[in-house]
Amino acid sequence: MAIMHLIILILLSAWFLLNVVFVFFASKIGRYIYKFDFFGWISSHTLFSMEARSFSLYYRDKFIDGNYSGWNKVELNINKWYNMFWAPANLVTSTVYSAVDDLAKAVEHFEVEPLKSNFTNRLKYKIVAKYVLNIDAGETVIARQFKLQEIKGITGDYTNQPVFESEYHPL
Amino acid sequence: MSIIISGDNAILWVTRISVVYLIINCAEKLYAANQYKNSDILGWYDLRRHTYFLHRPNFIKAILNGIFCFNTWIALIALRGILAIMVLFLSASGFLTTLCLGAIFVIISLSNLRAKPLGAETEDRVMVMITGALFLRSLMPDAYVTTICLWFIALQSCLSYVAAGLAKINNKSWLKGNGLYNVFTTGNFHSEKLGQFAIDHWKLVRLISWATIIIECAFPLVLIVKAPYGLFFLIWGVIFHFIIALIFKFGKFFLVWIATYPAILFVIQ
Repeated sequence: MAIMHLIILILLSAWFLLNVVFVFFASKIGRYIYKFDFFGWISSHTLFSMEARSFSLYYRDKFIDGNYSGWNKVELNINKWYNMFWAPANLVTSTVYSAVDDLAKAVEHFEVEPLKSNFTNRLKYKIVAKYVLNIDAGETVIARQFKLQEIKGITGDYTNQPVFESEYHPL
Repeated sequence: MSIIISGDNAILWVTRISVVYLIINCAEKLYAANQYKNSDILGWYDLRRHTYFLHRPNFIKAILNGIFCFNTWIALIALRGILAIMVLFLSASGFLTTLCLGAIFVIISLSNLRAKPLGAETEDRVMVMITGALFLRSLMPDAYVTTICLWFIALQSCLSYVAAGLAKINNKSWLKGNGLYNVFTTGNFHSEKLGQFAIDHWKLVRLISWATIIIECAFPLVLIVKAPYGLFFLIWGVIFHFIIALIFKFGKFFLVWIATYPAILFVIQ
């Protein structure tokens, strides 16, 4: 067997075994993998296995005359048939959706105290805030606030109390 | 019934399907290029302030800033697309193919690194394994290495199904049979029609939930039962991924996982 054969065999075997170890012992070695797997070569493959919950994103505006708008839901769903193979908008919406989910769970699990700088400086917070603040606003809008809220029911008709309400961000 | 697929043909089809994914992915990113501007949502300025990058040595930060800033990054994405198109027309081995596959592998790896604070795209995590194996195979395209690489891709594919199945078993809701029902009736991916269908046919949806777990966990049997019985798993996989693509608009998952099937076909024959 040529030395090159051996090298390739060892490389691919090691790669596969590392992945096996990660899949079966993710809770024990997950943080090391996160730290040292710089290039995403190891995957846990757990998509669609989590508890199905949905946190929706809403915003409301503060007007120059001191009045407020009602809450508007931000639609992050893509639903055209061709989106199954062509969905460039999904690059952003899926990032925002995932950020909303992570932020809501972080608040729920008391990982962070909302509205403190260690929360508002989080990358996920910045992504959500940036997305919401980029939504078109009228000239009379001076600030915008967003909230995260769990929705339930097939029409999203049942909602819990908001998980989180941001402060007003000036526009 | 027998299936005969040579190692070279299996590699060819793995490559072709992977390349289709890479081209679509590249086109999407170029179409949405504005979002990658440094201060935009997918831009580098916020990502680089994440603790994962913040505490790296200065020379590493300088390199990353050079690679991941808007202009360079978009150029690399475009290059990945061009290389993918080239691979489509090149033979499965040869210096140029090795160069293209190596460069694609490096760019996907960098893409995963850049997206680290957000969580790398799942498709790219699988694609990096496929292109890594194809790259190594192109270095030494003989029967022995071809077999090793196809086994690697087939095993990774099986592992992905088992991992997904086990994760569902560890989730109470999925274990009770409510996993799919909850996905259909809660969550931003749902549609009203699908939710209503799940409510009207909850027993069927529960059965499908359990069946999904069982088939995912049993998927590695494809390597043991061999052809033609192993084809059951592959046909199930095609239908499973197509339905996911149709309902949840995750078409690229379909391409990435189906790209591993020629390798499984080779292994089970």
